Amino acid sequence: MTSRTTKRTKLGAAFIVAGLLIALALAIFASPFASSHPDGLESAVLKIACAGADDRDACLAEKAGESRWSRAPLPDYGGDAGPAMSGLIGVVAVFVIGYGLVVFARARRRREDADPGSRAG
Amino acid sequence: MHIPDGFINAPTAVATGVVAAGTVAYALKETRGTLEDRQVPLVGLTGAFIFAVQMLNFPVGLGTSGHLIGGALAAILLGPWVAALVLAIVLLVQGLLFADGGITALGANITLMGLIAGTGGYYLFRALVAVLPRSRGGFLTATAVTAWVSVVVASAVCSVFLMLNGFPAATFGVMVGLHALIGIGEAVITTLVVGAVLATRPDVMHTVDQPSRNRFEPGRAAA
Repeated sequence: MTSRTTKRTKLGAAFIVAGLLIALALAIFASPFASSHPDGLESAVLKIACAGADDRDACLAEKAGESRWSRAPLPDYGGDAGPAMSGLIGVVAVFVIGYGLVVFARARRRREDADPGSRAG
Repeated sequence: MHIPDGFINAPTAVATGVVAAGTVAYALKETRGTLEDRQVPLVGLTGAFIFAVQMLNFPVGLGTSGHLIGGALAAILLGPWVAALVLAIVLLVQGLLFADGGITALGANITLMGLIAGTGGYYLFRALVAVLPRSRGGFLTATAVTAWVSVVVASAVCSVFLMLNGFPAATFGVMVGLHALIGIGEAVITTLVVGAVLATRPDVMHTVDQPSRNRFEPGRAAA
């Protein structure tokens, strides 16, 4: 790997920390104020398939079906109690997985690129 | 637009699962070929930001809310295939930890929000930038239009998935109509964020010409 010296080629820890803090602040402090109306897809299904239903929520749940993944620790972002904690966990999880996946993929590329026959030293 | 398990049938789940697996595999290959050292943290960072903003449903009237998808945002910041990868990671975490979007529907959700809104959005953005004035205003106009179109097109394809599972043809119009409203929110948020990054750190953006270094093109192997 070549070392890069000019300032603009460094992303900077401050930039990453600032970005993560913004994401965390939004996920933790703003998420409890999110609209609880059904989203576009749910709303469309309610209008199309549940218009005449007595209990529209139950109709939507029936259409959505039993979740085939029952081990989600915080289904529906923990309900009313949990959006802040869910936001914290989710932001950290996405960052760690994204970082790890890219580092892993690039390490694999370097191994594939390294041709043992021509490698100098 | 996170599809739960019950909304789509098995053939749709399998077909979109194959498309999504191919998308992620190709995106990983492109990511390791084109991403510069300094951009490595941007995948996780952009994903974390999109995850956070996706939690923030905003009301659009008609008893309906919407939230950012972020495909167009990721594509304009990071390029077509890194964007698909970012959305796939976000959707995986949402499905596994929060049961937001079904597991058998994960492929459909990655297809809609990663491949169509993200990768597809990138090429629409490039086409718009080519015809609009080469200015900050032109760039942000292309951003707003791309964001809106990405949501509407993804919703149209989503409604086709639903109709394949027996939903009536009216689903198409309702889905596209509601998402034409939600897309305005997508356009506003995407333009604000892209405008902020453009003003402060244009050097991290894939779609901005970089005078200080060689611009990395999709498909060009990193030297």
